[in-house]
Amino acid sequence: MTKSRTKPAEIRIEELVDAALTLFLDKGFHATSVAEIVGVAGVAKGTFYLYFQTKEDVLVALQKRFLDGFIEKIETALFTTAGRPWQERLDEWMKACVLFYLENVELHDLVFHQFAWSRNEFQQPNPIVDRLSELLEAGRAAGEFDVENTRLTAVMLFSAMHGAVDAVFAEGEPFARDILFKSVARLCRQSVIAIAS
Amino acid sequence: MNRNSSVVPDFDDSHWPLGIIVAEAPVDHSGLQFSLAALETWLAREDRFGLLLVAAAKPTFLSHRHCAHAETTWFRQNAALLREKLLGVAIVAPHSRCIVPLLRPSRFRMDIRFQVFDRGIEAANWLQQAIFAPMGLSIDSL
Repeated sequence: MTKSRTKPAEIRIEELVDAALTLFLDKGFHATSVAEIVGVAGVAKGTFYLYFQTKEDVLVALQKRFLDGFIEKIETALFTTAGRPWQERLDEWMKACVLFYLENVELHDLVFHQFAWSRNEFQQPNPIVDRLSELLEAGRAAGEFDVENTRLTAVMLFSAMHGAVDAVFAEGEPFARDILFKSVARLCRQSVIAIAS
Repeated sequence: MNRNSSVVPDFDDSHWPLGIIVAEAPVDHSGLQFSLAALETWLAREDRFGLLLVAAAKPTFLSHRHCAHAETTWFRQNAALLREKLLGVAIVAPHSRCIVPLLRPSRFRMDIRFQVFDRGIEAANWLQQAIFAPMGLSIDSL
């Protein structure tokens, strides 16, 4: 039997999630067992079931980890551009999105594509789109953006960014990140900038 | 894993005085015997403890008819120790609520506090707050 440990729950949970991530990326979600996850994490199964009801619960934790990291990136981008014109803030916001996505493609694909979420789960709120919608609303209120429906525009711009990154990855060829940033930023500007009459 | 295969339950005492037993596959007679033998090692300790039973498999028992006699005999033989050492039992059975009546301590004429939950952390928190804390005990790294 295992000996008692004194690690706090938060650390234990993170170690289990880290172990699961390594195995999910290496073997795939369905081929990974709870026994393997606890083996890598160095705990007994009881500890796993203390914090997670199923393997799918771990995937939800990984999804949250991805989204938390994403939100931190874009909020940093907003913070560091405070006071600048809203079109520049949108440029930096989109650049942060693209960069984060490029650096976390494997995790993203695991939590959003490898596992077949049900329709209800797909309909969960998208906090990234929510924040983009808020940014567009602020730019509109400042008179810099001409956007009729900030929510729909945010959905379209996020989808465009997402699609662009997916496309360059799918091509498998080396690509220049700068060109990707500029293409995404140009599309966003053309979609939202109010033209002085 | 198919319905007719079973594995031995897993035992975890790393959160002592909480002992956790996990059944990820249906438990057969030999699995039950192994579980009861392992439970005896916990009863042999000096400390009083709480038990968390996780029924992660559906069904939990391959054939309860064969297990029933073994359970009844074992509980009769260990009744005094159980009353002395076992503070409370929490069951996590999100998929197998039908097994709960089979595991109630009252079925074995034992007056031990008992509660059923869907999630392990809810069960552990109940054990901590309702069972351990009043005794001045605490679950390790909960």
